[in-house]
Amino acid sequence: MFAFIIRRLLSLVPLLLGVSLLVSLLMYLSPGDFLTQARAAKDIDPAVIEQQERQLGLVNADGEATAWFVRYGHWMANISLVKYGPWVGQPEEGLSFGWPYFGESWTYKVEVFTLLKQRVPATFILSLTSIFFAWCIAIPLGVLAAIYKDSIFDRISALLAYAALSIPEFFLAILAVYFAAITGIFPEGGRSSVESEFLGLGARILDYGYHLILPTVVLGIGSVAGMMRIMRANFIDYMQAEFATTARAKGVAERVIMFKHVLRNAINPLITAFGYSFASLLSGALLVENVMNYPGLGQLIYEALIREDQYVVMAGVLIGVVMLVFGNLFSDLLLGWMDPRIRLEGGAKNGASGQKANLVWLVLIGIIALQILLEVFAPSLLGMIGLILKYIGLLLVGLLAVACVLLVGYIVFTLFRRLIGGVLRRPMGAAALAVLTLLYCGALFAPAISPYPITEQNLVKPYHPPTGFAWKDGALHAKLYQKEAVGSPTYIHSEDATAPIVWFSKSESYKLFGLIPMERKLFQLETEDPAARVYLLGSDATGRDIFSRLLHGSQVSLSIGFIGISITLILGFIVGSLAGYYGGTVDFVAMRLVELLMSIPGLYLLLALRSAFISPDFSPTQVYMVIIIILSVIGWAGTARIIRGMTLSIRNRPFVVAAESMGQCVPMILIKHILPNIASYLLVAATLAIPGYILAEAALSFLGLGISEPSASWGLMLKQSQGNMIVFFMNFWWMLTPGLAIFVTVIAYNVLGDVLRDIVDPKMQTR
Amino acid sequence: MSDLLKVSDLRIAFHSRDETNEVVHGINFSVETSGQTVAILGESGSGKSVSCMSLTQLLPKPPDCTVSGEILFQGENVLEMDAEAIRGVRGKGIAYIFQEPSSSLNPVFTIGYQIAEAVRLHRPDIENVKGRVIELLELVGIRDAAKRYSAYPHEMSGGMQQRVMIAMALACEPELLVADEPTTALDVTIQAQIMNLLRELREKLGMSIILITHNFGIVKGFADEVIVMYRGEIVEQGAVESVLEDPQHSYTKALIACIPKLGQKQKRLSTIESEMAGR
Repeated sequence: MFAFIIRRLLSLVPLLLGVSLLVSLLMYLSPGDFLTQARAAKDIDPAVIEQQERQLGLVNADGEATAWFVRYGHWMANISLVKYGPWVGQPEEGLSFGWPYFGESWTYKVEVFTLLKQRVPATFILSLTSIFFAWCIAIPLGVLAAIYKDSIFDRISALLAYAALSIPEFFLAILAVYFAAITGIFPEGGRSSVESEFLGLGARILDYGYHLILPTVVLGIGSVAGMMRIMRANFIDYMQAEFATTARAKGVAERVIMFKHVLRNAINPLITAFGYSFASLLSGALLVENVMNYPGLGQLIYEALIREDQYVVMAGVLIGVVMLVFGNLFSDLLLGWMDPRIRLEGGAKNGASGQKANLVWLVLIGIIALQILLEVFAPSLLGMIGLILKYIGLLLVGLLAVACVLLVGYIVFTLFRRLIGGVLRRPMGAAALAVLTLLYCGALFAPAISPYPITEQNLVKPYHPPTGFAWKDGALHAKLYQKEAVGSPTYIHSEDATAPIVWFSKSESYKLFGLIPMERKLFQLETEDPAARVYLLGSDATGRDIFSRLLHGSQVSLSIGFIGISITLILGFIVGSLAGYYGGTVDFVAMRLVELLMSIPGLYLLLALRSAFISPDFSPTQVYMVIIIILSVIGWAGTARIIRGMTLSIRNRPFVVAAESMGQCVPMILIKHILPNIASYLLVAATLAIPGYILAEAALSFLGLGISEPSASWGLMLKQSQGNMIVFFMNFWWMLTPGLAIFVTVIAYNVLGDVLRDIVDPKMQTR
Repeated sequence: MSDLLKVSDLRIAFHSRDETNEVVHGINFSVETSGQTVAILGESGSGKSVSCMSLTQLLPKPPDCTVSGEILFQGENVLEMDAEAIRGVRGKGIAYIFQEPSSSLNPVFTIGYQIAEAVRLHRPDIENVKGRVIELLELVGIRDAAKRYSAYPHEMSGGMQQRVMIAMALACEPELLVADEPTTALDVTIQAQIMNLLRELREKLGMSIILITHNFGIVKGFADEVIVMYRGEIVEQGAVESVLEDPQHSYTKALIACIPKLGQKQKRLSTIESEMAGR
């Protein structure tokens, strides 16, 4: 056991090395640096900037830019316990001993370590309390739902689980702040009260606890649903296990059987999931901390990434990875203690694969070293290689896009046609399909349905409430509103001030599907007053119509999941099926790559990649493309792992061997024999994975790093209400409708996915 | 001798969403006190296991499954007992040994704990529970019983696990032991050991046994009476010798013919279908 812990901790070293190298490379690739903003400002003396550059180590003594790997080297030299004088900026040569020094935050002008010392405990405690909260709610609920299976309680809790699973964390956080603002029961954010410094120790701890409640609940609820479903399914399995019958035959009371014999077995998967839930909590914490203004690690890293405060980002991401590895280690130890069948040693086999793992790391470091060498000795060659790689990349993306269209066509035509009858027969499936059809139609016909262009501002009517309607003179009229007082965002409807709605009237021309020129819109307001509008869902801070923006935003939000999952599936299928088919070294390399991708908290990787690849001068379409590609690059790992497992089990089936014996080539075997056998699982997995993409895009846009103004996307629209207390205090609920739209879409996909899974594999059924 | 157990007109039906499937169609049998052994024979799905599970209401509750008829255990109808009363019968009155010892033991508790649980439930008068458990482990022939007390099920072989199951069943000295195919999951030499152990214990403790099996070989020399079940009905019933030597029903004949005999040359192993068709 001791050896096990030591080995796990040792394996942390190459991981940290790799991750820090990767992060520092990504930081280097991202356009601009810490001083970009200062340079753009006109009133700052260039001499000051030059001095700053030298001070921060961005340029060397001769005024040339320092290469990223040199800075990385300095950073590493500062961290190591044994320091060599000149490398850490000391005049005397020779080795000396010193504590690790993580560098200085450029923004705050303090040591990174001091910053982390403040922020890490906050996030750590938040993660722990929300895991604890999730367990305390999920386990009893799951157990009760299993024991009273099919009862009304079971159904209600399943419904709530769906809801909790589908609500985006940041939207929930906004709702929580909204709730806190309206009721005043909970603080609206922060970690402590203003007066906390003057309180006694006990009162201070209570104050911290009080501020923890809302973030804990918000962060915990997402995991409650998943855990509850796992718990329920497991518990039902073990309730029918033979050892339960044995206990019953002994005359043990039913209560004891359930809570002792069954529970101890059913809880194991939850413990295994502990490590992973820690990872997702770290990502979630970033969003929740951001919305609730909780000073934690996530917010620190996010801000540092935006400002390119390099050393903070690197140290922060490393701490995140360390927390993740410790979470996994802890859950392994706990599992070993809970389940006597698990041995933590497993020496010989692990040793061999450990050596191979080091090999992979060596190769990776070798590639980076080659890049460094090229940069030093032949910068022009590197530029050429970069160019070639770029074109190869473009070619690949093009090929991928074509392949994706083919695959999606294949899935829709062969599989969905077969399954659609089953889906429609189930009320839940039919409802989900209807909702999705409606949403996608809305997105397709957005220009025709939406009454106003998304960028058209109406500055005299900010925060206009949804328009009411009246029936007058045999036609539908929209009520008109006036501001209560100049400058006040409160509107009142003056009696009989209405304007008729005209259907299919002419307005400015647009192109439907980007092709068909049209100029009639579904409905318009017929009025002389240029400021009079019909706001189905109210207006935002600049008087833009939220309904129109919602429809146009759905084009982004709804398509991103679809295209993203197609690319993911193709990539995952290629890597996963090759790994599963060939096994051996191919398998090993592919799986290590997958593990590397999965070992970095998802949202951090997303942020780092996005800041590396998107420059400010990109057009909205380019940003959209890059986001899809980044999301797919991160997402394929999990899919590849599943496909590999399935391929592995199909690979030795007689029909595959038969095809091999006939001399069929490998790609044909994979496509003709293996793909059809896993296609239905893929469809289910894809349906259940699409919500992840929608949520990720929304989160990215919400953080202001995705689709940017004046384009519309659901996450971006929600950003307006973040930190904008006027929205909460004046009860502008219509500003939150994009959150509702995300929620409805995600829940529809989740329901559809579950229904499809029940049809494809009745055994997997977990209501 | 009086009847320890009397089953009359037992019917068991399983209900799924849209159909009802009756698997036992009104069977009658009885077991006498003091060491009578009844063997219930039959192929898979003939209803022998569910019949015995119903003896202590171990089948799923209605509406999934309904049991009708009358099961008198020591003169009381088991089917009408409430949950509390039935727990008194389970273990103390009727104890079970199941087919698959590896999955019938809870993997996360030590075997000592699992046996002790049964002792504590039905014999609150015993103070030295651990001593009693060790005694039981020795009784079923487990060496180093004191050491094995804290072993987990996965650390033992299949034969040892079955001995633990037997020790657990014997923990409260039941009147009736139901052995549901106790040797099916074990290899042949271990089978003989387990049957010998059961025979020994029966003589020592004087309990009655219901042995469920599909193997005629272990019935002879072990059971007093044999019941042959086929598709939910009892097709033949009687003393072991008479049934074995002079089977009346064609299914019994077929079943006996299927036993591979040592030294006899056969082209193919007989199957029930071919034997039944030939008659």
